Amino acid sequence: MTNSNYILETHTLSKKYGGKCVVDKVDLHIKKGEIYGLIGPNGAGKTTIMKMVAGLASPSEGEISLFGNSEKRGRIGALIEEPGVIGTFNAFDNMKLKALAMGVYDKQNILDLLNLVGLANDKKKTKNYSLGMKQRLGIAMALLGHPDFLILDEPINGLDPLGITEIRELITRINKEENITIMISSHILEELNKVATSFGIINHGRLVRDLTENELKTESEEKIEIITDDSGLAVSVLEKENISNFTVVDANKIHVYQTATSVADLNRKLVEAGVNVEGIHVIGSSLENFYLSCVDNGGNKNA
Amino acid sequence: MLNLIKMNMYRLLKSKNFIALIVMIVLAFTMTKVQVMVSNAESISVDEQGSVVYEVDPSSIEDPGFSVMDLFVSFPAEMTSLFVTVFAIVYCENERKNGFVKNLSVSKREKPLVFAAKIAPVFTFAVLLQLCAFIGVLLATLSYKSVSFGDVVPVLKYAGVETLLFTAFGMFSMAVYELFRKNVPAIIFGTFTAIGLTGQIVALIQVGLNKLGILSDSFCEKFIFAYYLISTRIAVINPSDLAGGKVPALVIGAVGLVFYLALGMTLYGKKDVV
Repeated sequence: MTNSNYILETHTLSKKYGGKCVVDKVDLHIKKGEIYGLIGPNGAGKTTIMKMVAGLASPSEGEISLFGNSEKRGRIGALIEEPGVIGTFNAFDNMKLKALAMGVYDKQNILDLLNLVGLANDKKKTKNYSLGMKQRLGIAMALLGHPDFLILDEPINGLDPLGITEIRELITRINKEENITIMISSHILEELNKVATSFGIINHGRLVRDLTENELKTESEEKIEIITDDSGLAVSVLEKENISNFTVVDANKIHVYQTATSVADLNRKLVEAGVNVEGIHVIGSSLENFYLSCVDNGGNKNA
Repeated sequence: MLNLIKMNMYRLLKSKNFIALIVMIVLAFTMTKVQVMVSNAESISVDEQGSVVYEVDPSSIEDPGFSVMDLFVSFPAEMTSLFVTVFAIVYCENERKNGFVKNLSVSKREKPLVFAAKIAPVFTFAVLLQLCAFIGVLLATLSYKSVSFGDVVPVLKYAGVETLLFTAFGMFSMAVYELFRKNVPAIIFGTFTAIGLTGQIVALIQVGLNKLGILSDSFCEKFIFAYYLISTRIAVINPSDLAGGKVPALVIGAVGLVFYLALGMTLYGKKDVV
């Protein structure tokens, strides 16, 4: 199952707690250099997947392959659920504790990482930190030991707009400058869309959609849906009208993207050409609508 | 493992709460010893008006009749066990409550070693407890003009065996915490064991099994289960009897340490980090 292009591959990954399946046969594929956004409502199973990948929880079923090897976990950094800092220690001491445990203590490296997250000059105890500062420290701790793969579980959760922007910029910088592959979860698709390059939508423990950035863009932009019993004839009409940006979803359904033609005009032209138009309407007006349609109908494209 | 031990020691010695706890323990030891000495020296009576009269024999200030080492070994071991169990459980609870444990488990695949490395702070705490007791005794005897030091060697041997037993008891408390993953039941169970209730329950069970005919009289005469408990040994040994039973306390401590270390490592390794 392993492919050297993938940092992470899971195969039928499942987790049960007391007989209840919270992660159900999830197949994930994350390529090197990607920022993979895992999106889903609260309780969908995002954190459990991340815990299993990070080695904090054991899968009930399935396999996890990291860096093409099922046993390698040393090159992972993770921030799961909370930053995990000792409140009575300052940022440096918290970093030092983790570095000592990993056997990678280097004062300069800690200072560099604290500088990267904007906490280099902060000497106060972490219990006095704002949530945003704690999250930034958590990311710095996850970066100790120069990981190749970073797992960030809801790092923007509970942050104010400024904090969200700071974390977003930090994540993008880490990905670009340090060339670290990142898996990030959130229940806010709009926010993830600003940083992630590919997406997995999860609901009730199942991966309902797996999309690239472009696929998400296409899926979530406004489009005209034509329902007809003769999609072949409808396609020829579209081509005749110089409309090329469309996809034939199935034998009865066509999606037309980014067209200057109005719904009424398009309908008239199709009818004039003899196409039996059973329905024509605008759908998918936002990322949110797309996300909601995925979690409402289990990700069935054709529902 | 060495890295994890370094981390634990840094965390322990850097913690101001820990330093405050040590100071508090020294004061507690001092106060207890002062109380013991005063109760030895004074006599209480009721005068004709019915008032309580405390009289201190002046000669007891000159010569209290006991040595520093006598006072050192006279401290109730149950109290020290109580300090150990509370320390061990609070130490585990703190790293789990604030999520720090997740940092360790992510960077160390060998999860059981995270538990094993905790032996370093428990041992350090056990040694410091002995030092605290000694400092407490010294502070308490300051009011006396002359107190002899006593025989040091047997007391040092006694303190060594006690330290091993306290370390084993600390690992037992941590294993109990890993079993419950909640501090309240762990502290209740640890406290009950520290003050000897678990030993009494074990003794009652043995009596019950004997009465039911499951255990013979001769077996029960030879083997008293409660005597094999670490908490019982902590309470019964003294400088003139370091064994405290047929099987020496040193063996009970060593076997207990290995057993609870293995138990805790297994529990820690098997359970998910939550």
